[in-house]
Amino acid sequence: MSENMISVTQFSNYVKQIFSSEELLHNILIYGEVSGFNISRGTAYFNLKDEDALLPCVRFSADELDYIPKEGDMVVVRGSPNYYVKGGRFSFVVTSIQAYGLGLLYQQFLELKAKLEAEGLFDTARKKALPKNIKRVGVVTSETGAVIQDIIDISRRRNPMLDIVLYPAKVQGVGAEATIIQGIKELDKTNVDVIIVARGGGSLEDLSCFNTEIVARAIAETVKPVISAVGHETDFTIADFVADLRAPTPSAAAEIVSIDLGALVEQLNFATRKIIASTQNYLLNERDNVFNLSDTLCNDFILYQQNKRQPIREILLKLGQRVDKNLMSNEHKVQLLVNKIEAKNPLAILKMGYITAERNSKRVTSIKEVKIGEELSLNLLDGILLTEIKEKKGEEK
Amino acid sequence: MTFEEQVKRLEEILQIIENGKTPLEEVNKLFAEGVGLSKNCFDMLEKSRGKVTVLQSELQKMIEKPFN
Repeated sequence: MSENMISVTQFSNYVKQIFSSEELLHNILIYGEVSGFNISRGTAYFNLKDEDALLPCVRFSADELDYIPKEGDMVVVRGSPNYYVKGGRFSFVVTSIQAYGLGLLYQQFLELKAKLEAEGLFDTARKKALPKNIKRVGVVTSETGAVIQDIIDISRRRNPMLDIVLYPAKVQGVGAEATIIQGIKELDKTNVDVIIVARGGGSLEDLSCFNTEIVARAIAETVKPVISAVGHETDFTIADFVADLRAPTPSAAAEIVSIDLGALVEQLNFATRKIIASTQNYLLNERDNVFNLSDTLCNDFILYQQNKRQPIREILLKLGQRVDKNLMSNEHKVQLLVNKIEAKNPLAILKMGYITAERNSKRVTSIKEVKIGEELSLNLLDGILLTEIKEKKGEEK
Repeated sequence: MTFEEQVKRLEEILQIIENGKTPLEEVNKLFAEGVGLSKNCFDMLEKSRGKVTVLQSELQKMIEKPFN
């Protein structure tokens, strides 16, 4: 059989670890009788004991203590256990010491807590979830003071549409429990989505009404979820344990019930801008595409028409050439004819300086047709010459 | 016909005209059809753009409401 060995340090650290990891032992209240109280180099050492047990206690920074207990005083201390590794000593590290008068309240608190816990009133299973969309919030607290103002300011800033219904309650002193219970019950009957039970910080006595059984039961019995927001972050009350949710402070409760509408709107804005931008982009692309297609359609159509026109143009051209040729040759023929006709015109002959001769209005073309001494008319272009034949030359056969 | 179908048909028409083998009368008809299609497509795009603009202004109004 082989057993693992560990060193003293390992063992001691393990023991220390056990105490420091056990959260149920942290920040707890213990009451007992003080013995052997002494302060050495700023640290207070004492034992807390009852009939059957003794607990060594240590309080660092003893000069901060506003109450120095005497031997035999009944006190309630708050603190956590610690194992001092170097000295091999267990001690309870105290953060506060109070006289038993106050300690009694703690004792009652602890007893009530134990009783309700045993009944299952603190069970997570019976905690009601907060609705997702909170529109109307009921608040049970004092109508004066900073608490309600903080709740209104914070929730208005985050979600201006949130309705806040205040049930003004007495939150300390005689009769406070009654108004708190009434407030919880009344608001539970209305259309609020959630109820906040709130109070500012105070002493244990100040908060005592939130440590009563009747308030705890009123909270446990509601239909609507209840948020407790009593005192400072370090204050715990029975109301906190029984509530569906504990907010560390009233301001925190206001934040819990109010969604940050500004952030939500910003988110929505961003998404909207994105949708619009991408849709516009899409439309622009499609528009370009259709534009190009239309452009191509027109160009293609024109090109097609040009292609069809080309052969026709060629035919026309050839046709035209042929017609021209025809016309030209005809013109030429006419000109020739005209020339010929022109040539036969007697006037034209006269123009050229030729003369025709007539006797008795009869054209003379031979010397045989006339005798010497006879008259002869000579036709010129601009008139007639009357002449007498004196002599004939040439051959006469 | 949807917008996409019309664009597709327009592309078909272009191909037919471009191949140059189609008779003139047919091409005239196709050209008229193509012009109609492209006008339709432009109209559809214009309407969509209008819708986007309307949506945009509506949303902006909606967003501004709680703060004004």
